[in-house]
Amino acid sequence: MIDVNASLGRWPFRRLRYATPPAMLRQMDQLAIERACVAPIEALLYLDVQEANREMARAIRRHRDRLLFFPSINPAWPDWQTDLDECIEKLGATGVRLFPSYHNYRINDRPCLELLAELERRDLPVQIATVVADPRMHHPAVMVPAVRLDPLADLLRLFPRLRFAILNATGIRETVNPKTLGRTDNLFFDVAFADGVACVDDLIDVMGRGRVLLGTNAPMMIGLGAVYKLRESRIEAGELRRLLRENALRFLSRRGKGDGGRP
Amino acid sequence: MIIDIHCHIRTPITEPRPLRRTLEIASRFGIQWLATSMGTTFRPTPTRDEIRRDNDHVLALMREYPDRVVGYCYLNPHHGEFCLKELARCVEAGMRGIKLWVASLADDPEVFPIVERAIELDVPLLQHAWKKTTGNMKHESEPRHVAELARRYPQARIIMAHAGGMWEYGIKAVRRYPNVTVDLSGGNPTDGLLETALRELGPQRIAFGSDADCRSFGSQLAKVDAARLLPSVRQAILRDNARRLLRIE
Repeated sequence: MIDVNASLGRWPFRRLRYATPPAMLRQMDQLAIERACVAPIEALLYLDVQEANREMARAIRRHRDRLLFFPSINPAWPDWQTDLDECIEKLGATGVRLFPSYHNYRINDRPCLELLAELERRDLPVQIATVVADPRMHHPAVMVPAVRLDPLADLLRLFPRLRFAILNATGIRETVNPKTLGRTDNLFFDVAFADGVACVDDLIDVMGRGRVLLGTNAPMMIGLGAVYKLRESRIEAGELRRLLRENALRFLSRRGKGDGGRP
Repeated sequence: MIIDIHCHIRTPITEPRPLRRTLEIASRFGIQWLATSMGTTFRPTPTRDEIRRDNDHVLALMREYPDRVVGYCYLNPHHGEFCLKELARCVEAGMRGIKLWVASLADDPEVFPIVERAIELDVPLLQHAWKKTTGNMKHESEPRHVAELARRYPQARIIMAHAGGMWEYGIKAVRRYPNVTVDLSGGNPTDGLLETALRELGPQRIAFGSDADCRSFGSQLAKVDAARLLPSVRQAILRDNARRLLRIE
């Protein structure tokens, strides 16, 4: 399996067990997860997110076969283009993860649209983290709202070749109107914040089989939680795992290469 | 065998297929008993009729699945004397506890007669509690309200739902009150919950709950199964504590 939604680094709000590369790899082994897309937790709050990207690139340099580097870019800051160049050309980015609420922009703001255009041009998949933790229990000094997904349908029209993964979306029927999202094959949702009995089936029913990804939101959340949710599905276990893996490979693969995001 | 001390089966009993499916999914995880409440209406401040309807639904589930479902009597303390009669009716019919949600704060004096009757009847009170940075509903209890109730009634057996939501806060709020057990239900499976509860409360004051069908059985059971536990500790959390509280043979 491929976990599209993991992070590494220091979570400022509590101690976590699986926040280092060795610990994360241990948990992945326990859960039969072969590869994980990882972004730096520090990118949430560092003013210069590129510092967090560089730290993380160093930390995972010996594990690039299993930890796929998803640096964060803040398009609301000056000259993010040079940071993106560095992430791709020197740091080995597989894709980019955006934290619009932490970086204080909307996904249809002009700078974000410029970044998305550049990612589409360079054939890099993008992840949009709607939240990172349940907003109800945020630290009172850091209350970050969920990302509004209303513009998502417009983004799909504007960037038809860009692959989007929406991470940690909750209450998907209330967050976004699935009918507006068409049947494009470049949009994905992970299961990390999906919940309720048989929630994976529910997400499949709403969004379609080809749009669902395994995501754990580890280390903030226990990886086993996402894996256990799969057990509630009406789809046979092996078939569901294959489906999620194939979807992840489609999300990660560069156009015409089918390489699953290997740098 | 696992007992889920906090769940909701909202599917009408007239829809046996989805109902059986929920029970079948619970079985995949070894969850035998579902302690359920609040029926199909699921109103925060239910009327007397809604309370009766919800409790009748749970009683029907208990009759239909006598080896799977135990019920809590759902009440709105605002209805005073009616609550005591409804509680008597439900306990007489086999319910094993009381569920209070967000109609009154846990330490509101209108709750006291219900707690006093719970002590007489020797049934536990499952009290919703959540500490939210974003602000609670007007009558939604925080853990400190549960703590105050536990202080006032040391003989009451209280289950604080969701470990108080923001569990670092919730666990400390009730730590001094041995008559409070926390359930692990609801909320994402955040890392550290179980370890903190074990350290601060000990294994006898923690019970597994899912808050299904709002939550998945699996996402919630992962909170326990991801921890390295002695078999006796795991058994206490998944079975024995709930069995003792709900008198399940």
